[in-house]
Amino acid sequence: MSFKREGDDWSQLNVLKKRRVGDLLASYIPEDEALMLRDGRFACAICPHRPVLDTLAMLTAHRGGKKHLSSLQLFYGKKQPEKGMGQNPRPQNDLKKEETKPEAPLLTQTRLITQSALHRAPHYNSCCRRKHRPEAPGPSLSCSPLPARDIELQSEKISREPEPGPCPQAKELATASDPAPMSPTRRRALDRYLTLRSSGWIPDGDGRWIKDENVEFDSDEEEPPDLPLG
Amino acid sequence: MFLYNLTLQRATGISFAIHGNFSGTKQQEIVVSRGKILELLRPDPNTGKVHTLLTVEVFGVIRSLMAFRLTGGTKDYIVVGSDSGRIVILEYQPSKNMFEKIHQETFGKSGCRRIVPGQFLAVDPKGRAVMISAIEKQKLVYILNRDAAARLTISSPLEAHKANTLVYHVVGVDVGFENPMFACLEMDYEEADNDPTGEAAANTQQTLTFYELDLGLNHVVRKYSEPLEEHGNFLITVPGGSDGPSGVLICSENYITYKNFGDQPDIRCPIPRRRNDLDDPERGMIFVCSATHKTKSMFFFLAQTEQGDIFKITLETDEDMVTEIRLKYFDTVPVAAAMCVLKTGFLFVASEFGNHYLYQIAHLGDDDEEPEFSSAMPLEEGDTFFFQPRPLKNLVLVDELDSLSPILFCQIADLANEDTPQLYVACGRGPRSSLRVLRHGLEVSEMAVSELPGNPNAVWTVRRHIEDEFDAYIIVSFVNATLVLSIGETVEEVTDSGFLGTTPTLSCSLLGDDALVQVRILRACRKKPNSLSSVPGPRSGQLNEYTERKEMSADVVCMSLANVPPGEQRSRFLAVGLVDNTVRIISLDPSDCLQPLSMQALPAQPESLCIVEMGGTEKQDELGERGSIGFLYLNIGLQNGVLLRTVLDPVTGDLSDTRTRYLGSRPVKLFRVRMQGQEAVLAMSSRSWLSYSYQSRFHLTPLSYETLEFASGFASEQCPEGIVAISTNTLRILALEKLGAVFNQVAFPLQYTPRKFVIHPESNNLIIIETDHNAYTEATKAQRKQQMAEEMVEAAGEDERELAAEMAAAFLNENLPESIFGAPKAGNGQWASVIRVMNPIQGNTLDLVQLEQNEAAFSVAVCRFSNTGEDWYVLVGVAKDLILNPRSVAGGFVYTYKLVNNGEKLEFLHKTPVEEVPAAIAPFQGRVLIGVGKLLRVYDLGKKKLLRKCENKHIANYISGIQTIGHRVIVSDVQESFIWVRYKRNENQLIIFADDTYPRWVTTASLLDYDTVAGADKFGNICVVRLPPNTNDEVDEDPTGNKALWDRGLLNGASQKAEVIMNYHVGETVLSLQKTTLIPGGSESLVYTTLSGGIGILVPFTSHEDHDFFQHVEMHLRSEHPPLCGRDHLSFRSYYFPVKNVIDGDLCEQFNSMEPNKQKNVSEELDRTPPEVSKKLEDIRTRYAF
Repeated sequence: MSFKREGDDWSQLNVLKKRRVGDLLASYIPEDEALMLRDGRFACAICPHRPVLDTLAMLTAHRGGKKHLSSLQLFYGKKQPEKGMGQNPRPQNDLKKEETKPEAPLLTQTRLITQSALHRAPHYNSCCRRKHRPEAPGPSLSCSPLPARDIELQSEKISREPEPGPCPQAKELATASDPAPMSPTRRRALDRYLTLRSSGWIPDGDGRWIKDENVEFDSDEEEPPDLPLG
Repeated sequence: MFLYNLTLQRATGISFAIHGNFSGTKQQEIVVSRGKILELLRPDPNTGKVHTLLTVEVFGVIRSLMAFRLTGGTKDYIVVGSDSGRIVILEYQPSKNMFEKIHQETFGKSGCRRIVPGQFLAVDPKGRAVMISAIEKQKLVYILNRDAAARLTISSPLEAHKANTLVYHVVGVDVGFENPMFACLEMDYEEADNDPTGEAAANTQQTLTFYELDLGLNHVVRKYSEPLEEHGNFLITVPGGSDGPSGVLICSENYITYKNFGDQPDIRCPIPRRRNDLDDPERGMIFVCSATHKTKSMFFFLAQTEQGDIFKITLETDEDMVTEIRLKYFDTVPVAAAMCVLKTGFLFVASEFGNHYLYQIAHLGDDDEEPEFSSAMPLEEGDTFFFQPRPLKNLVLVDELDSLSPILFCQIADLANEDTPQLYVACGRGPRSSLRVLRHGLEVSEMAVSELPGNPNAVWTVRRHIEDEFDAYIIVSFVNATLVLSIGETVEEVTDSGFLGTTPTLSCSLLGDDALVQVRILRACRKKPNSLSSVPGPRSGQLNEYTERKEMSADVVCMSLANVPPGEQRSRFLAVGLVDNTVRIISLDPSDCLQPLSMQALPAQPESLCIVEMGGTEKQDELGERGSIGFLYLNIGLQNGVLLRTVLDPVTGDLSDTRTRYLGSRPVKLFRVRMQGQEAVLAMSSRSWLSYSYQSRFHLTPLSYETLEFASGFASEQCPEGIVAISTNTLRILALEKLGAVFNQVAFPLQYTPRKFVIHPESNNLIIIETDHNAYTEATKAQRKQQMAEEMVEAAGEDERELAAEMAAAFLNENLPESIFGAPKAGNGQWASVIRVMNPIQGNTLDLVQLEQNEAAFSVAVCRFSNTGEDWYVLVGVAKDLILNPRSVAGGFVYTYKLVNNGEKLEFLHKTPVEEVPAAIAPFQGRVLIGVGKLLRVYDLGKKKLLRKCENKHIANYISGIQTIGHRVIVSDVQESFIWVRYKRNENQLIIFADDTYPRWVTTASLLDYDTVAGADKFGNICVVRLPPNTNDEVDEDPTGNKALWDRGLLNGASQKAEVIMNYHVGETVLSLQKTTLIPGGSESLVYTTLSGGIGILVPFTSHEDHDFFQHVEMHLRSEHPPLCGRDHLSFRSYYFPVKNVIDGDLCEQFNSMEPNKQKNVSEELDRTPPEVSKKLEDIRTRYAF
């Protein structure tokens, strides 16, 4: 038995072709410009209102739109001063290839084409590699709104970022193990933040902790417990 | 990943049992089916022990089993109805010890289907026809006959189909030699199906229908059909022709009814009930199984109720008209799946759950005070007779067959510090449940232990005459003396045996026909013992010394002579072990006496040698003399504790095919013993082992017994195949009865069905939850008893008060053990549970918490909380007022106990109410994850209850298990396979990031690594699924937060899917899986236990060559040795999912039971010899297990 296509169903063939094109397009979307969601859909990470798009094709279409392009300017306008020169909207590997300038450009090109033709699934993996990027988290740590403030309250050492805008790296802060060594004070502060957060306390933005209404607490538990800092 | 499946212990539960003379001799045998296994048992009428002759795995589901015998024949055949869509007739071949398929007729699709026959089988009592029926519509009749060469023939099928008809039971009616007749319990649902008002459905009646096979016209007619008043559950054939009145007994709720053709009126008798039963009196009573006993002069039936009470049923007749049914309480035994009354006076009871029993029928219950109930006694409609259950009176227990079925949970750990892990198995049901500890080894029964005056060196047994069956003397040698014991009714010291008692003995034996020789040291000499001389064993009684001498190149350490083959004067070979690490085989043939034939180099100095003949099947020659033709094996025990087993060519004396096994730290001493009529070798190192051949497979099993120093075979009237052995200063007589068993077991009784247990890691104590449906708690039971006693007194009249009070007191004091008489059935929706803390080594209960009536414990965990430090807590998930069908539940609780007193006591802390059944609990990062119905929650320990900290509501149906690794949580859903969840601490969220694509009804799961999980489902499949390497577990919830309504549906699974690594159909529901090593120094394997009591392992292949080899073995066996019941092996293993990446070792190991020429063919295809193939098979087994 073989799985060869039978018949001359052109519409189906076109659908497949289109899907294939979409898959190939996916490899040109940088990994930090979109988020993959639990249900397999995509959210654009560039636009501040985070539009959710059902398929890659739609995401690609969205990325061609006016709104997106204006957000893109805003996004990179903001991002570049943070990240310095290294940042480029292109994915990391593409960037490297361009930089190294291979001696046999035709060979490289064909290799790239074969590679993308041999992809079986959409070559897209949104966020899991972000934390491994060497240059990513360091300076962007401070732009995270809530933990930063909390840390500030605790240690009074880190200056506050003037504009706590939305920053995708904020979420990574807790779980990603930072490659740069963390100072013990900050680690403790982080620990405390995570412990309180996971036991149902939410920072209200003014440095106080309020109870999450979906979480249960002991009846005499009014204040978040003081964790040993020493 | 490629895996190899091996069964360590086959299923032990019995689904059907039939009896007959299957080997064609007068011996009564039993054939039992254990789901997918067919087994032939033979109860020894002298000792009462049940021996297993043959076990065959059929790779199909056996759905019905019947024995039949052609008219005038002496041998019974076995008819099997299975899921193969074929009817199969088997014959047992005693000479080859195998079942032979005589006929296999295909009639339908494979699988257990509604209208494909196979579910019911009925044979004509005269052996002329067999009917095979489906649950619905189809029935086929095959005519059986014999051809000119007296071989069994089978006709093409005759149809007796009737559409829209359900079948409940089918039996063959005994009509003598008239046309064969079959009786069916049927129900026609056509009208009910077409009537939308439901009125017809309410009025539908079951019918008793007779089908007649017209032998003249060669077709089947539906002869007669009659609606029944009560709903029947099964039929019993009444002997007919010259033996009885013919007809059938219909067993139905509360009544048993006799029916027959013609003028015979129906005779109906109520089923008696227990007096003062705690059961719901409104509940009907049914018979669940029966056995018929028929002799030339009389017949009776034994029928068992669902409470376990057996009644003896007899029929009173008046000129072939039945006038009366008589019932008499016989005895109470555990509820059976099948019973067999053997002609030898035994009753075999194949229990529904737990151990099976063989009873001797000591009395027929004819002349005792037990009241007899009769259909002729006038009774109001709805009224019944009452009887008083009592301990056994007519039956005497003679043997018990261990059965683990059902195994509900198992954990493997070395809690007893024995370096080999033990299996802790929770098994059984209701009051017959137990916790059993399984250890690899053969169970040893101690027949006698006696202390001796000093530490003996050696022990022998000798017969007085060569023809004697039993040994006459035990000779025990000490450093400076010899003790002679004579064997009779008792074993006692004698002085007149002729043996010299004042010196130590080096050896002794029977010489010639009736001479005994004692070898002792007369004068110590310093002669080097490196020459051999030969002494022929003449029948004349004269001892001639051969003049030949043979100088060996090095000192002789040990020697062994083979037994004299039947019909010959002398044995052909002598094996000699030399100090230069060699063993030589020397000819004893007079023509080339003492000529060396072959030699084998050894890795160490030999300590002991033993030539035995093993592996042969029992043969019977024309003269009826029994003997076995096997292979000769030379066993070599080395000083470094290794045992070698080498095949010794019976003609040339060549040595080949050596197998090695490390036995222990001490030099290996070997002794020849007899086991089940065959030779076996007892090997003694720091542990004792028995090497024997059992059902054409070699077993080398350690004895679960203390270290022994010297042994000898022992045969007496009481113990025909024993061992006499010495250990320090004691003499022990031992018997090994459970040959073939891999595990020996110690059982500790429990109160209710054990559901789960956990091990407290510090004290190694077990915390077991036991839960029973349809049961009373102790408190409710006592309360109900009290209430009934009060009612008894109240109901009595003024003058009977005193008597009633006495009776009430007797009732209150009465205490029938529930393990035999069963626990009272409380009704639907009534639950009873306990939580038990048990020491796994002594088996004593350290603490017991009784839960309230209708609280059912379903999950348990032992854990620590990060906010409370070092204390251990036990959490028990309990359902309240759970009704199974239609399902409803009032809620649930999580009981929290603190483990105090070094893990021995449970201190109640608090009780947390939850909305649904908390069916799974797992410790997770210093807190606990609890599956409450379909909600996955994180709880933390609070002061007054557990505090819910986080929740995920997106699991499909019902969380049946939780596994955790790192931040990942793998949830098994009862119906939707696995769901991977990630806990995000900084957002305090549980987010689903992956799931499986198949709908698996997961029963149990085990993590293999970070990405891989093994699971089993309720249909008997095992699978391994793995997340692909690019899986991203940091997916975000929809950041907009405005998820559309249509997006919240249950069908919206995760976007990332797991891959299937392996699929395999075991054929029995698997309830526990664990990745562990079973032998010290062995590799890891995946161990599973099944509901029917089987234990198996899946082991990974380490090399591609191995995998390739076994794949070919499997392939060849599939074609050369197809399964016995006609089910295709590949399709059986792919029952629900196509089998993937697993090779069936059970099939491969059937290589050993194939006929030699087929073995040769298969091994030639593989470019090997048969011994090489079987060595490979043995190697892979011993590398991982036993």
